[in-house]
Amino acid sequence: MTVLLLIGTAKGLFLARRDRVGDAWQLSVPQFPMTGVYAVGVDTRRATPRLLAAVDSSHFGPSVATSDDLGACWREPDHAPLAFPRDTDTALTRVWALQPGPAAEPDVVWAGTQPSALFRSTNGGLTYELVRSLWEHPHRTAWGEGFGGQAIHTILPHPTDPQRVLVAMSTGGVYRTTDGGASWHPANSGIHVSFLPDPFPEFGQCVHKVARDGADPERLYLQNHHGVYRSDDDGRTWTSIADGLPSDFGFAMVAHPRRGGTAWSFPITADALRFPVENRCRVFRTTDAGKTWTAQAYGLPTAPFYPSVLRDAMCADGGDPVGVYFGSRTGEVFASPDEGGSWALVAAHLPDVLCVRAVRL
Amino acid sequence: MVTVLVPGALRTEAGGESRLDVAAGGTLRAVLDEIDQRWPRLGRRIRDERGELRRFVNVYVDGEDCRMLSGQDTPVAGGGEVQVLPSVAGGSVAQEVFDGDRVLAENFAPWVRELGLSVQETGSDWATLRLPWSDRLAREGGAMSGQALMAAADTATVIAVSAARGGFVPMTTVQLSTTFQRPVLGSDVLVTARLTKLGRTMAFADVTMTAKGTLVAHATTVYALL
Repeated sequence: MTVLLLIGTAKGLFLARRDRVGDAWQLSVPQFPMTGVYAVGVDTRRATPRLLAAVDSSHFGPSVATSDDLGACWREPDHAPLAFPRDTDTALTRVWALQPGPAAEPDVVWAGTQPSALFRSTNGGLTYELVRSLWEHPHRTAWGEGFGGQAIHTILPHPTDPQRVLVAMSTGGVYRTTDGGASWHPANSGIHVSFLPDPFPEFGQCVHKVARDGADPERLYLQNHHGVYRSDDDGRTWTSIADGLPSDFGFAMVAHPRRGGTAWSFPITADALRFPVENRCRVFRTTDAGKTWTAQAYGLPTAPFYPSVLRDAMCADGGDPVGVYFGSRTGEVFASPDEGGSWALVAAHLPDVLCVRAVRL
Repeated sequence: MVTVLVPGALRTEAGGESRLDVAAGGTLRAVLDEIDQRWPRLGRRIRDERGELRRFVNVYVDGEDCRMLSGQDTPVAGGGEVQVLPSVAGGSVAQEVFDGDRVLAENFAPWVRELGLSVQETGSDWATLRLPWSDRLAREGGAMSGQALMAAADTATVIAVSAARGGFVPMTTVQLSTTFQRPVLGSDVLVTARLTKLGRTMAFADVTMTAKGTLVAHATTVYALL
């Protein structure tokens, strides 16, 4: 079964494709060369999946492009597809997340931006409008800024209840709506912060990534700026699942798309030491919702490995078994066709990998 | 009338034009407002949604950087010239200097130009051309003919060598070896020529041809530079 892997890098988007396990990956030339591709999305609700790419030119600013022919041609509307309204006196810095909505809303696509804001598209991701209820939240002026900038990087629509959406930002933490976006409430109960006087504030956490369990939509996994957590009540409360990991720091968190309790992470030593734990290239998987974690490194480099894996630079596809993919800041991309059991190189010597997303065709 | 000079990197947003005639005058802001109206994709790459000039775009009014004058309030007289240039702080400037489409238009036989090739990107030692799908290029069975792909690979190498040298270089093909790996049905082909060696009298290139992200043909080429 053909896999199409979108690899967003600091200098353009690469598409890798292979028709079956064992074949060589075919890597495209860079699309949108010399632009940072901070987010990619695949909308599988269409007959031919629609590809979405957030491209950011250091000269000419940010934009969002779409492709309905698997990346052969990309289009962009004449007018900015995503822009802040005039009255906000704010300019878009970049788009950090592109997330198709649930099946019941086939034309809804969400976008998360820097500065921290949520946008919603009702035409399949071609153009977007600011979600004012979150922009006008009284907490907004108190949201902070992480090293990479202040952004909403995670958007998790509830798969069966369109009234519920959860977002996460750095820094600010998790917010959720249960009324279709009319109101938003912080959802950080139990998540620790190390950089504020109050270790358990209502909001202000530097959440790095959240993933929703594939079988139980109430269950979530969260990689914090130190701390790994699980929620069993759609984000209302969080408990630590870090004990079985070699470090509680990291950026990526990916859930199995169907099997409950299964998720992958790429632990980094610490905030102040951003190398993989023991300088070893290892993915960790849990199959019991975080009680235990097991290293998965068969086929990965065995020499000392220093690059980190960014928050969106790991993903899973929808296959059976599930394919898992990750890319490093030194431009290597690895794929596992068997849920992390074995790994092989997809591509090397690319620019810094910022994000990956995979789809089975 | 004011003339606006468009940098190479933004010409696709201005219908391929390098010079635009704008009726508005008075201030630079009025000129840029008219660009927003008539060429919105160009306009939003020069200014953000607040109407501020993007940080790494420089705009010169009659040769002077507007940031050293009165910004967007700088007066622009009739007959004046507004030049937009990406600043050196951002990315590669090679593509601003080298105009691949002009090399294509001025140096190839009419039947090659009829292929409709366009230069997508060029770099210090490579060029990517788009060969648009056309039923006229299909052979029996409906797939794109190999002759068209070979002509595109040949042309892409000339553009890559010219890009590396900063302008058109006369040359002649010594060898072109192509493998056809998959049929192309109804889609454009991206042709990327990468120079593996560029000497004083000889150039060698590796050419990949992809359709919908998949490799369809591969060529190696050798040229004598005249």
